[in-house]
Amino acid sequence: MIASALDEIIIAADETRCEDFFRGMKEAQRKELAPRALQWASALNGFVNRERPQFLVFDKDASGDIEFYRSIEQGKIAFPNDFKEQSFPVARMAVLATANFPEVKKFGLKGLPAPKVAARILVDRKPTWIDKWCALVLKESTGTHWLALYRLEKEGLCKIERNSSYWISMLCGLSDQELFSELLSEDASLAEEVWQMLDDAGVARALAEPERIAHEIFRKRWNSGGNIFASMEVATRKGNNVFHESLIQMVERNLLDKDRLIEYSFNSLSVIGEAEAKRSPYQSVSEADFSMRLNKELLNGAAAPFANRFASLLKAAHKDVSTYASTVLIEMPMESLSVEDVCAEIGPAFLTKSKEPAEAALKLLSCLAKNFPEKRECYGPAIISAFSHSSKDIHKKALSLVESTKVLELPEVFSEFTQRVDMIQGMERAKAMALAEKYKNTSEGALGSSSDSAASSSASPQFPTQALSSIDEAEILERAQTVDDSLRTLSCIDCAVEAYKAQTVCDTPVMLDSLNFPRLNPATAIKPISSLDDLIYMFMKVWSGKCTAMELECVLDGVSRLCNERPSDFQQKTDALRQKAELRDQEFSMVGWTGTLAQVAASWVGDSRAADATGKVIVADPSSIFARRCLSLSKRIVSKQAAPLLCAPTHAGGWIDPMVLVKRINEYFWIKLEPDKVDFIQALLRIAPDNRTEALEAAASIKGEIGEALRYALGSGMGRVITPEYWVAAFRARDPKGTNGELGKLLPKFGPDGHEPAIYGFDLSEVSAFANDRFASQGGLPNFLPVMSADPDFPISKAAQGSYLQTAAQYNARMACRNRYALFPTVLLHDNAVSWFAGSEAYNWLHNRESLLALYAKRMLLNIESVGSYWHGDFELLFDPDISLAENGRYFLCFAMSSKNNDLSRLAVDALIAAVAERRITAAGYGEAMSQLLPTGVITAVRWTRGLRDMSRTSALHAWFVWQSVGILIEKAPINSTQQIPFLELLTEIQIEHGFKIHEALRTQLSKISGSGKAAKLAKTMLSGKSSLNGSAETLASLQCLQARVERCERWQIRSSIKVEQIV
Amino acid sequence: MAATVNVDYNYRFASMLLAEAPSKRQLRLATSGGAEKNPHFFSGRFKSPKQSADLLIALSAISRTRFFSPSELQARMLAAADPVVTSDGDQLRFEVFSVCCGTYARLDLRGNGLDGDWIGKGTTNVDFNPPMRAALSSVMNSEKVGLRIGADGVELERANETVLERKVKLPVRWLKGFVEVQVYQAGLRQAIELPALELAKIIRTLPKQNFLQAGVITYLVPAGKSVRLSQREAPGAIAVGAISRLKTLEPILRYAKTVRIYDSEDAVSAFELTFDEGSFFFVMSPNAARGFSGEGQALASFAQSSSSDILGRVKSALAWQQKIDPVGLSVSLNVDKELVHNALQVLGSRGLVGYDLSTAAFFHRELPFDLTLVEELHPRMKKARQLVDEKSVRLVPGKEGEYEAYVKGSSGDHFIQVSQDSCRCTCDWFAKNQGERGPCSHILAAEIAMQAEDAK
Repeated sequence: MIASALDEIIIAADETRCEDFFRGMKEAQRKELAPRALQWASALNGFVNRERPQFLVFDKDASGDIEFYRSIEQGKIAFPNDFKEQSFPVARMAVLATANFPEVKKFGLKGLPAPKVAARILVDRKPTWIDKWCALVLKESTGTHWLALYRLEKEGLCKIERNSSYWISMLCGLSDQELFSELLSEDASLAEEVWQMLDDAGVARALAEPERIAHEIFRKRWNSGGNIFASMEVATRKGNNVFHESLIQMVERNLLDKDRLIEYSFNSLSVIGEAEAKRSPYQSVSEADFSMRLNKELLNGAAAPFANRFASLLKAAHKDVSTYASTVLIEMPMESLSVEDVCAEIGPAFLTKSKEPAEAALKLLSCLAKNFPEKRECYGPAIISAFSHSSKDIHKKALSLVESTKVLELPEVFSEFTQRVDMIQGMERAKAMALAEKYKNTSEGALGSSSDSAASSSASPQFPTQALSSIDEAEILERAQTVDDSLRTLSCIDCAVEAYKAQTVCDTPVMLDSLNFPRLNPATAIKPISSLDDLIYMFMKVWSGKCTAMELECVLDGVSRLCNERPSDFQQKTDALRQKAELRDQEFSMVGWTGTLAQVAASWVGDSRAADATGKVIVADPSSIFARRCLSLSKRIVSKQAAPLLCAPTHAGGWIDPMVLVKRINEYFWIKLEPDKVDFIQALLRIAPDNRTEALEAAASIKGEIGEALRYALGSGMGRVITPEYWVAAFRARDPKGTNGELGKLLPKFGPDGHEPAIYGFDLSEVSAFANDRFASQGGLPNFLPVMSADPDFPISKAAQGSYLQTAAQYNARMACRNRYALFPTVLLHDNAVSWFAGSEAYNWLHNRESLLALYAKRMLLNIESVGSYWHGDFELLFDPDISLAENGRYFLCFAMSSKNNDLSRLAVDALIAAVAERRITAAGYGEAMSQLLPTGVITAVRWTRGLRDMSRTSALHAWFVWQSVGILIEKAPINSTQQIPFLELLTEIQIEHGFKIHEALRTQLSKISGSGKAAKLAKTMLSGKSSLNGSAETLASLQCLQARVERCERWQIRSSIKVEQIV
Repeated sequence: MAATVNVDYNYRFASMLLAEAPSKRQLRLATSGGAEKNPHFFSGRFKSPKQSADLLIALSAISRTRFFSPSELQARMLAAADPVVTSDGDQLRFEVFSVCCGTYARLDLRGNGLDGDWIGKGTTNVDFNPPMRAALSSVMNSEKVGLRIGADGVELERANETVLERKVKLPVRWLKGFVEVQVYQAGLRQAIELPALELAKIIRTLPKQNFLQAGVITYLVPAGKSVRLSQREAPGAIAVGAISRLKTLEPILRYAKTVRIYDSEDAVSAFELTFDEGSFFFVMSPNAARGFSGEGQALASFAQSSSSDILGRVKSALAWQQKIDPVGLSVSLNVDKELVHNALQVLGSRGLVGYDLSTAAFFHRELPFDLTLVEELHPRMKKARQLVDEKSVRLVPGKEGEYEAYVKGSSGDHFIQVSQDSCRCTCDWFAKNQGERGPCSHILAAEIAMQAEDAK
């Protein structure tokens, strides 16, 4: 009977009757009614969702309920078939009033009536599981049922822990302003809870954007596989203003303390201000926006009493907070401000990258200066701190404020100013210098009279005349006279001395393409691996990929010599290496995916399989020489023939002492071992120019074609050519840029750097084409440094390169063209196909580096916008003092300095600094390269100027180099005046710093820049700029240039003095 | 899921900046843990309130910073641990460790910057809640600001009702890093001293920290009176890993007079900002993606056989010294100086001493955490012990003072050589790191086995 009464109430959809029905009911009776209530809830859920099949994907329960409802509808189950949606809330009440906790938990939303009703039912029922229910509701219905929890706690039925979920739930309750106001007016202690809630970090985040709560609930549901629609029921979907409006309304109704809320808004701004602004693209309102708006509305124009609070916000790292604070302070009556406090706080406003806070701060300082002219000692240093900002606009505004306020009259401010002048860029630097000059006497006088002379050390910047006197020019000139004649010529010392006397700088590079200076530096002799243990560990290191190209060479040499050492514990010592070799194809190493090192390891420590059992085909490219060497070494190891590796370098830079090479070859003959072809060719291409005469004598007894080719490389005449590969290598070792007619007859239509030297052209259209379409190169390299070649098929032309999608026949034809040069490393270096740096090719040919540098330059261009480093190679050769960067190397540096990868561009600056200091590059050549490349559109000018600016600070010689090369860029590059601005700014700075003379061609070019634009102003500033007295700037640079050349020759002389016997 | 240690902060009140009168406030820092439950260290005032407040804010910011956030971890930010403060009766040292475990910062406030009574000595946690931080940032130069660290018994009685309890799960790697960094600092040497403005000029040119730069080493190369950035190692160059992390120091550089830069061979670097009234130290790991916890420098200490007797004697000689003199200690304890130094390293790795770069000496402080788990849960140490237990280590006698061992690994037997100066292993991990990140588990296992052998 009671069950039928329940049916009637549910069918009638009467909530009041339902509540009355259960009021005071005993648990036993409730238990009896529970199954019926649960049935009703399921059936009604099925009824409500009967037309929503999409719902079933997410809610498995609902599909069961729909099925249950359908069975009732079809009369399969005896149940009242009288459904309407309004009955569902009543059924939910019935579930909560009758079911036990597991059932309520299982039924979820089907057993959860509206908060007020739920609270009333539970207050009446007082179940034992009320704490569990509260925890469940807090977890599953965070956004909707805080009120129920509040009521239950007020009734003393439960005690709920105050945690983040509770506070968020309470916050959602706050969205119902009327209800919350009612509660606050009834319960004074609730207000205190509101403050605690507002202190919660999660609440602070959600206040600004209520949608976040829904998102968070959705995320949790989605991750846990629960009801993802729960978030839709969150009562906060009322726009972004809901909490803001609620808080303001509570204050207006005196339900919340206004002063405390003001304090809260300030505290929030302080906390938000600790971090830089970071707004998600999906966020419409930031926490800063919310707090600023709340603060503004609460203060309603009466901000003056809070001047100090606003002052403390000036230092916020968050740009909006700092800007807001400045803006409010500007609008405030000035008498309410403490100038001291504002100025002490304002410095960090100039540290943000954004301009807004800095601009607002300067505006505030300007107001202070206007209203408190007597407090210059406060705002003076604050204005100077504006130069910490990176924007030139800010510098400009700060300078005009410095000028108008005359703060430089104060010695301490003047001192601070001069220390920061070098932070100012471009034309503003000129203005700053003029200001410093203007106030120099006043301030220095005051400084001198001041008892605190801490700042006296920083006088206004001067041209480097003083620095000149610190260099002993007489000593350098004397040392220049003692240098060996042939070395002086190579180093152009006479030219440098003449230039010094004429107060100019000798821009001729040291002649590094010569074989007439020694390469073998005893201090950098390579120590070969001497023990098996060392070899095992070094092999593991090299294989890990963390090694230099030289360590790789040492390991190969070690294996070659020590491969027959088999102590009793060999198997155990090399066990890890063996296991690794078995996974050969899965390993990555600096030599790429070739598996070549694995092959060597397997041959050495593994089974005695034939080394080429892998069946790999080695495609000829610049790095394939290394692969071939590994293959031949593997074969020798398998045949248990230990011998030194012919091409193992004896000195840094990859050089082999010819005497050592002769000794190694002799060893081969003693043990009756035929030297390997590729090993011998590689060795020839690494023979140092030192000790060749002695080596030639020592090599007299070496028989066969190898002996003849070796002697030819060392300076003897040509023999009978059987293996052209030997002779090309030998010829290139003795005459890197020469032509050999005899070889030409044997090798007609041959590639560059075979019997004929490579002659490089310059094709700007390739760079421009790449700038327009970076994917147009079809897998090959943009060939802007084309070489003349007698072989029409090599280097492979762009047309022959074809597309990525090509037929097998096309591919094979391309491979055949390249494979012809498989054992001609000098020719193979001109291959344009491989776009990554292999690392191992750095030591392929040491006598002429132009082909490798051209390859590097092309690869650099291809990767100019790459921020990754996966394609980087061994850039160590850029720092080799004996490698010229004056030709193709300069293009590499130009592109690398414009690289998007910061680290690489910085490395390029390092390389340029080294090259300038060692006179391996010319200002004229570098300027020309820059003027060629800038108009193509592939260069990012600010990256260049950033690097060049850094470089110009290194020494007078470096500053002169930048001055000259950028001057040439301005003269020659067909660019408009806007493009010229960053370079003109740089030149202006250098002119101010050093006072270099403007040469005629640049003067003419500068005078052509007309109009009233920035470029014209910069040009005018430069033309009216001062030069250093008596050309002292040029003199210092010239002396440094001469010193560098003399020191180089002295280093070479030390190398030459090492006797052959010592080496052998 | 990363291993964690439960830490209960039990503050008797929330730290706050209390207004006592117009332009007069008091910073009351609540304490939790250490030798006493809620110790009381100091009661007095700051001599330079604004500067001290800004330095404390900067320190606290580092403790909440994650310089490297792999995307998969972004959602679950770890709970930041509260700063640790040590009072030795003459100065206060506030220490924090970043959330990413890659940077350590310490603020030393010397006695000349504080005016007041030194009540107790010891180490404890202090509460740095957001409202307190916000209030601290509003401190002005014109104000007088008092400082109390802890509270006396009467005040605690009164404050009983506002007990502030926080249960935090601190990652073991965070704790490991905190102890590891002390061992690293002991290996740092001062490379250069610059005017603070020069470092500010360098920092302004740095790009924002991003994950691509996490492992990049940049060099500071002396250039004139300053330094310049370089990507290449050169004589005198100071290696700094993920250099953009220095941006954190930008807001407080204006207070600093000079900057001392310390470096080491393994690219750990430290920056000391010097002020009239103290120093601010910022120590960085070689790689933003690699916290100090992963470096394993303290592992050697864990495996070391500093006899427990010596360790105990050195430990008992600790009395909150600002500067522990190993020579003096070796004389008074009649123990070899080298052994005292080793014992201090071990104590450092157990959180019982810290290292002060400016004096190049250890100082006594006891981290208020349970550090027993650090050793137990260190994966390499754990694995090493497991290898020893499984009898996977076979020792082979070598030359005088050297030995070799074969240790079973996942990919075959690893060959280990240990000499007085170096140790090496044929495992991949060692091949890649070459000892820069501490010994591998195989070397540790060999060392443990060797010590057991010696003990026999």
